[in-house]
Amino acid sequence: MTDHLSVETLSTYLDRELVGSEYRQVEAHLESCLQCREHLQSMQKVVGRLQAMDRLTPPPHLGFLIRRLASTAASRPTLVERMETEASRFTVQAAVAPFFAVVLALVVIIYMLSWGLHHQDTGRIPVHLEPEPVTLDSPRSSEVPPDDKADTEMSRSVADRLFDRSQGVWIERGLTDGLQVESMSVDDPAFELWCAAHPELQELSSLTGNVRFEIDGRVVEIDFSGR
Amino acid sequence: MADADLNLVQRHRYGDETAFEEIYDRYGNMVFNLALRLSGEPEEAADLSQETFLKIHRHLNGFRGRSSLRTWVYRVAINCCRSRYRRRRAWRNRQLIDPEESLERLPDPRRGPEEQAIARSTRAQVEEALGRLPDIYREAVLLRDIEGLTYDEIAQVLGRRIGTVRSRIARGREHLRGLLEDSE
Repeated sequence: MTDHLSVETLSTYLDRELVGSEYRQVEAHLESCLQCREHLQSMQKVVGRLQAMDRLTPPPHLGFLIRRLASTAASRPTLVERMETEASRFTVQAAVAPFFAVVLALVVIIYMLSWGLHHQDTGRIPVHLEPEPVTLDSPRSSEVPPDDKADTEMSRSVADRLFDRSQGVWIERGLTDGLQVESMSVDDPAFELWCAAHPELQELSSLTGNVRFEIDGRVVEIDFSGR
Repeated sequence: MADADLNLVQRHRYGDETAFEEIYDRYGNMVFNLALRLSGEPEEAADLSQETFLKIHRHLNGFRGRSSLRTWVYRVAINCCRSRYRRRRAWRNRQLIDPEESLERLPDPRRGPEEQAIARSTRAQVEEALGRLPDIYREAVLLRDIEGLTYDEIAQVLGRRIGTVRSRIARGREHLRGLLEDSE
């Protein structure tokens, strides 16, 4: 016979836990199979050795210690019992927790709705925008001073702008009534330089509008409107 | 649940401290021996017994009697041992201490000195082999072959189905058989 009994079947048979036809089949197999019989005997020996193990008596002080600890524990609640009490209290609170959750959810919804309506009225969502950075001291690329040749050359186009390197200002040049006119604003730093160089210009303080002057062979139109 | 068990539990519920003392007298030895076989160390076994009985004292009022009190006590003890395994995995590789050095052995009047020496040697071999068994097999084999519980009771103690218990006992015995044959 090639099919031997499984370890589980042998173990269960040993414990007399097999019943009915299964028990009879195992009995029949064992009668005819030496290998399974030897296996069973070997297992029986192990069980016998386990069952023969002595039982030990606990240390004498152990019983006394346990009784004393138990009587002490009975007189005061343990940490676990206190936690259980807290847990039961929490259970009571947990009953009203859904109510608070609903109220909180309503408050949040109302706030979000009112916020949305407000910004629907204004048509925009407030966003903090940084102002575009402006470099005050450096001229724009179109205002980069031309080279020296261009600086000295008198352009014939109207409202031609030239950079006066000596004074460090932009001067509007143009032709008016056949004359070469330089335009300058009172806000222009060049005007202050001119005033410093020509004390007679101090009398111009009462003037308004655009006024032309001829100074040192140059025609200058000064805009006093910005004063 | 047996009437005697029911009576003990009722007395404990009504604050009768002698009921707990009776429970210790009845199951103290059983719990200590189980803990000793599972842990392999008498000091651990004493600690585990203490922990087990304090739990019993604390939770006895909640005992519903779905199993016998004995089975319930075993279950509490096994759970204490398991939580200790988890905390101290070193148990797996523990060196077994001969409990004879620190504990009083129950006298066996049938054995002479020579027989006792053989028994001591045999016991050391079996204890060492038991210590090498995986926890799940050791628990099942101990409950069946040393404590003498039925398959049904073991299933209750371990919280497993009878089929699982049957399998664990068989595999545990087979594993133990191999270990003991190697040691001979």
